[in-house]
Order: sequence, then structure tokens, then C-alpha cells
Amino acid sequence: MKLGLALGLILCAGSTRAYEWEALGGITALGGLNSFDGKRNSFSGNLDGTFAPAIKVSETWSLLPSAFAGYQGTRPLTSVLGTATVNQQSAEGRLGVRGIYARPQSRWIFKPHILYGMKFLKETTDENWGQGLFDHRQQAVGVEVERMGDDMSTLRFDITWFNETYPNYTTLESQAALQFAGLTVARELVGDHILDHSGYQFSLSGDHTLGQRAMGMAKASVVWSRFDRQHVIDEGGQFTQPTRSDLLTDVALTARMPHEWNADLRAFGALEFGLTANTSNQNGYDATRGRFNPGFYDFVEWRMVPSASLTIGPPRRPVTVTARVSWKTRRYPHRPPQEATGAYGSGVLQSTELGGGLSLSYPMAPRLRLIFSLDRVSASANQDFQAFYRYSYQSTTALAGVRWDW
Amino acid sequence: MTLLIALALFCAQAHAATLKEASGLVQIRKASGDRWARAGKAPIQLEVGDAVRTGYNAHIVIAFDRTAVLETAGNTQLSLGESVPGGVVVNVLFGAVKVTGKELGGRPLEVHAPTASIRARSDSAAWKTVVGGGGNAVIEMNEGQAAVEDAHGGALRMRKGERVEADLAGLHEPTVVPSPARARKEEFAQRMRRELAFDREPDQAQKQVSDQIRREQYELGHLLTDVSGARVRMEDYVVRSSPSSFAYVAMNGRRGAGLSWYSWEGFFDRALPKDLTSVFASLPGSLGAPTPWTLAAFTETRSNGIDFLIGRAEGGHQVDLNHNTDPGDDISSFYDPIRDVFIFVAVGQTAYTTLFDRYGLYANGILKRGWTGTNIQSQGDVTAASASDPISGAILAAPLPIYNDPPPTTYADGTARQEVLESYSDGTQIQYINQAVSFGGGGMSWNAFTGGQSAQSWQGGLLHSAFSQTVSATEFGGRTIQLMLSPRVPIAIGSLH
Repeated sequence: MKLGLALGLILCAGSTRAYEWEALGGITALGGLNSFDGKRNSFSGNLDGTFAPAIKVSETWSLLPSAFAGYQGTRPLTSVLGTATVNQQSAEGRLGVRGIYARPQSRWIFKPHILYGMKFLKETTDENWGQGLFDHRQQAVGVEVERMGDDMSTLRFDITWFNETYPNYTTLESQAALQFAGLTVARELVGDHILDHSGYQFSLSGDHTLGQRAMGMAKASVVWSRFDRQHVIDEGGQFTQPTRSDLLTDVALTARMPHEWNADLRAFGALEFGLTANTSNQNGYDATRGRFNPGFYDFVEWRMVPSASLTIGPPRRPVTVTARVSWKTRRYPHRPPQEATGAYGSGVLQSTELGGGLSLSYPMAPRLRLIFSLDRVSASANQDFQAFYRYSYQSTTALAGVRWDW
Repeated sequence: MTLLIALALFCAQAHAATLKEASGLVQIRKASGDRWARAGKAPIQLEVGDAVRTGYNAHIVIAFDRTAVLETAGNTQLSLGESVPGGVVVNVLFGAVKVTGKELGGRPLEVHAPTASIRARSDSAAWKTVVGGGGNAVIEMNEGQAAVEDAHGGALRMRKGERVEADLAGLHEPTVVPSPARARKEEFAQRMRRELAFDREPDQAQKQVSDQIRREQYELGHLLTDVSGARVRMEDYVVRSSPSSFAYVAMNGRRGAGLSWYSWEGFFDRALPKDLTSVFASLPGSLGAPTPWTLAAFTETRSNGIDFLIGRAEGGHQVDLNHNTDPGDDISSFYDPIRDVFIFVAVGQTAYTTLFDRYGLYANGILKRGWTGTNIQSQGDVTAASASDPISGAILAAPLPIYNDPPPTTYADGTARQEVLESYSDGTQIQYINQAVSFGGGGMSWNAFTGGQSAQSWQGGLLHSAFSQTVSATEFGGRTIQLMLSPRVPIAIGSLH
């Protein structure tokens, strides 16, 4: 509502002349199967659509309002939660507006942006839509600055403020009174909506040609999240006055190289190296042992993703086959691995994920493509305690459907 | 005369073209050198072999005698080719150039791209050449006619309004040049598509944070699935209500069923350290010597918020069971909560555990059973409560009913499930159903339990799974207390056999 009003005001603020506009968007409908450790789930589908009417307000200003809606019924392999639950369905909606300000002859482009999103999750059979424990709302406001360089290079910097709330999630401890029938069942300073967080995101990205044939891309982003209702745990398992603050850093370096044998046979290779690291002032506490686990949430993750695409046929309507391999290893520097009962061992917890995927995009008509994909991931870890969360598993997802772009 | 002709030709070679206008970043590499230098103020004379490149949004105009003009946009690199007599040759490496020739009178006007060559074939001709990645070229004819030839010798004649693409494979089918309005719209749409892709980027990074905090909830065991597949939330923590006491609380939440919890609060004879690891480790007892602190009393509670099953003990003191007067209570193994293993205790080895002089079990406040004693040295030293409350000492209105001690314990055949039934002579009963729950829901198979249904095997097996306990009592009026928690603390304090 607020977003629509803001958009209306911006448009009304200009002259009454007819604006040039271009409708962008697409719809994807996929159906498929997922198997997890040999157990095959029932057939389910994914559907999503984007609509973005781009408006040219003036020679310097453009507006890009966008709406996205999606439903996901087939468990994804790429999500860190993809393997945590037996069932997983999600639905989401997002509304956003992006302004683009670029003066002719200037290398600089300024892009303020605003977003409101909602996500609904059904992770167990007894959850209903809208009542999911992890349903969340997101608001974000930011600005991106882009500098167009020479030789097709660009540099972009973005700063975004965001806020994410989980209206259905409050801690059980806060739901219980501190004293219940004379019994002490909660701690002092206990927080309720402890997953709600807000913060800032900074990102810097750029691309540049590498020699005559390749393109290099680099991106670094830092997300600083503050959990104002989640107090830090001390060595006695009690809450202290400071609240949780996390810093998630992601760095990715990608090299892409196109190759062309002839007009009807082209290839595109890419290799990505990435690093994700999280540091948090929050600690862990294993209450069944009275054990304090400092730095419990810190981790470092390395990844390498080589991929290759083969494009066959006329450039406007090609058949594209893509193969991808991914290797990812995560290390928790302060978290020891646990034995099958949960007893702590020595060393650090480390998990490795090896994945592979094949996809095919086949043109059926102008703007309409058939899509097939097959992805498999195999994960292993030195953690034997997996009663709560699976660190070692094999999972496969096969999907087929159509994509329509306009 | 010959000398004059030679001089004229030399001059023509020396000044092949003139850079008439330049804005933005423009650099020139002279044919005689290999370094790029910033172009000075126009006009600048260019020679055959000179190369020019432009930066972002830069713009240049090059005039070739009076017949041809070349314009470029930003991000373009070109060089002046070997001149043909009276003509113009331009090599475009990448970028976009527009050439216009008037009154050519048969003089050559050529643009060479990596994958195609374009030659004017009319007295006046104008076209645009865009060279992209891999040397691919797009030629749009704006005026007159031109011949386009690919690297394989394939050729075609282009007329005004036609457009053709060329790549390493050769020339494609010519198409109609989009109108300026259409071209502008397409360019705008392309820019906006790029922005639309950028618009999702901040969201992706924040999604990593969202996914991570949700993953933590699973890793910490806060989200469990019960035997029926329904979600059970679980939080366990330690509450320090005083320096000499602490409570372990495991809180459960089920959709539509409110909260239920298990708590065990221990009161010790002295202040405990802040780090409770050693205190937890010694809850089952200690070998060799008594622990520095003694558990003087405890309260164990199971509740669904309406109903309470509470066990209270007082008068705790440490006793070496292997050296007391009762050979029947000797300890042969101890549970080690740190390593989750059962330690073998040798015959005659000192083994301290805590015995309590007074104990009472209450269902919704009604005393069900209990005992009393004085500095007991063996569990056999106690006297079963009958006429008075063992904790408060209050005289009971009626003697306590007798209960079946020990209560019968049965095991299910298929899944790992234990039922303990305490029945009383007044017809009331308390039932405990203990179950091992698989990851993702459902009962765990006995196959996961090595050693069959012995007490140690049962407890050891439970430690490998999620644990569910359902408690019902006659006093609860048909309601039950459903709990999912780690079995570790109940095993350590001896309330789960």
C-alpha cells in the first residue's frame, strides 16, 4: 500500500505527458521429484512469476517497480535447510521499486531501491499457510552506485538497511512465565522474538575483461545483523545485557570465458571461487551437560563451482545444455564435532558438500522454453550426532517444466 | 614532375585522416609506437596504422578527406588500415562505429571487423558496425548500399534499412533494421532487465542470514518431529536461581497444545562454580572420592501447564554404596554424562552416590508415594510413607495406598518403546510411555539398540535418538503430559530406568 502510494507520488510529481514504459517479466512452472537418502517424496511443483513495468520518466530518471510471487513445493538442494525437514513448501511475495538516475555523458548511475517481502513456510504436516514458525516479513531500503568503466568494466557499490521479522516465532522460554506455580522455568533477560533482526548490508562488485576472451567478476558483501531481543549467553548459560550481533561476509571471484566454434555451436565456461564467513558475539550452551560453547556460531565456508554451457542452434533460439559441479566445505573453528550420542570430541566440526547438476533449455516458441534439470548433492561431515540435523546425506531433485519470458 | 607526384603521395600517406572532435577519454597509439597516450586537443592528424580508443561515454569524429566521416561511441577501439589509393580503410576491434561517405565517386570506403568486411557500393553510403564479444559484428545499413563479406568468402549486398549479423561461422540472414523508436525501446528494456537482475542481489545476501538462523534452530535441537510427524519445539536451558542451586528446564511447544516441560532443580550444600560442567558430570555419583558439593535436595517436575507430576527429595548426603552394609545395592557401572558411556566399576571400588532421607511424589498436588529415613546408608533403610507427608510432615487424612513396587515394565516389539505402570491399591495409576524417536518422526527400530532390552542398552539407545515421554495419571482426568527432550539429565539423576 505504502509502496504503491510512493510510486504514485513519484509518477504524479512529473509532468502529465505519457511515459515510455516496457513490461518485463516471466513465469516459470516446474514439476518434479525429490529423493532424500533413498526416500522418494511425492510429485510436487514450483511456480513463480515476475512482473516489472519499467518506466522511463525522463532522460535521466527511470523507475523499475517489480512484483514477484512464487510457490515452491519441491525441496531445493541449494538451500541450507533443504535437508533439515522431511516436508518443505514455501510461498513468497515481494514488491519493490528501483529508481535509476543516470545523466548522459556521466559514468555514474545512482539507484535508490526499496523492497517489501513476505515468505511463508510449511515445514511439517501440521503447519498451515500463514502460521509457519519461520514465516517472515522483510523491508529493505538502500542505494546502489554504479560506475561504468572502460573496456566494458563496471564497479558497483550498494548499501542497504534491512529489517526482518518473524511474527510467529517467540521463544518458549518467554512464553512461560518466569515463575510458574512457584517453579522457576525461565531466565532473567529472556527474549521473545529472538530471530527478528535488522542491520546493514554493504556490497562492492565489479567486472572487467581478462585478456581478449574472458571476463572476470568479483564481489564482496558484508551483512551486519543485530538481534536486539537476543541476549548473549555467558559461561554459566545465563543471559547478559549485550545483544547478539553477527557479521556475515561473502567474497566471490568468477572467471567466465565464451568460446565459439561456429554460429550454431558455442560454449560458455565459468569458474567461481567463493568464501563465506560468519562471526558472531553469541555463544552456545549445551544445557544437558552444562557446557559452554564460545563462538558457537562462527564458521568459514569455501566453495568452488566450475560450470560449462553448450549452446546449439541459432543465437536467438538456441538449445542450451549446462553442466555444473560444486564443492563446498564448511568449518566451525570453535565447534567440536560430536559423537553419535552428542558427546563432544576433539578438533573442529567440518562438513563437505559435493554437488552436480545438468540442465537443458529447449526453445518451443518465441519466448517459451522447455526446461529440464537434474541435481544431486552428497554431503558428509565429521559430526556423528545427527538426531536433530542431518550433516551427511544424499539428495536428488529432478524437475521439468516451462519458462515464458516477455 | 615525378618528384611532385611522389611528394603529394607522401603527404596523402602521412595524413590519412583528421580527428576533428573528441570528448571524454580518448587515447591514441601511434603506428610508430606501442604506448597509448591521451589525445590532445582536436584537430589531430592521424596516420595509417594509428589506433584510437575511447572510454565510457566518450565520442569522437574522424574525417577522411572530404568524402567520409566516422563517428564512434564509447568503449571502442579502431585503427586506420593500409590506405588504398584515394580510399579509406578502418579496422574495428571492438565497439560501435558509424561511417558516412558522400560523393565517393568510386573511391573505396571499407570497415573491417574481425568477422566481416563492409565496402560501400554506392556513391553515398552510411552504416553502423557494432563489434562485440568474440569479434561478432552487427551491421546496419542506414543509407545507400554496401557489400558485406565474411571470413569464408560468403558475401551479400545490403541495402538501406537492412541489418545482418556476422560471426566466425559467417553471415546470417539479413533482417530489417528496427525503427529508431523500436531500437530505443529495446535498448531501454535491455537496461532495465539488467537492473531487475541487480535488484535481487541484496535480497540473496540477506537470505543467507535468514537461512543460517533457521538452520541453527535445527542444529540446536529446537525443532523436532514427534512419532506422529507433528512438529515439537524444544528449548532446554539452565536457570541459576541462587549460587547454590540450578534448574535444568526442557520446554516443549506443540501447535494447539500449549507448553509442556520437564524441569529438575537441584539445591546443593554450597555455592557452585559458574561453569557447571563438573557438577553435571557428577550427578550420577563419583568414583574414588565424594564430590566437593552435595546435592541436598531436588525437585523434578513434569507438567503440561495444567497437570503437574512433581517429585521432591530432601536430606541428600553422599554414601559409598560399595562399602555400606547392604551388598545388594553395590554399583557395577556408572553413567558418565560427559562421554555418554557407562563406566565399569570394579568390585570393592569406592563409588559415591547421593541418597535422600525424604522423598514424595505428587500428582496434581496429591501425594502418591514417598519415604522417610534418617541419614540412610542404603536405599533399604527407608520407611515407606503412609500416615504423613514425607516432605511437609503433615498428617494425611487417610493412609497412602500401597503401590506395586517395582512397577512392571513392558517393551513393545516393533519400535523401541517402554511402558512403566505404577498402580495403586485405591485403583489409581501413573503411566510412563518412553519412546525413541527417529529423525524426521516415527518410532525408532529396536535394531538401533545393541544389547536388547537391558536397562543399559535401553538408556544407551535413547542417547542416540530423540526421546519422547508421555505421562498420564488418574488425577489428570484423561489429559497427558507429552514431552520430547534429551534423556541425558533424567538418566543422570536416575529417574529414567
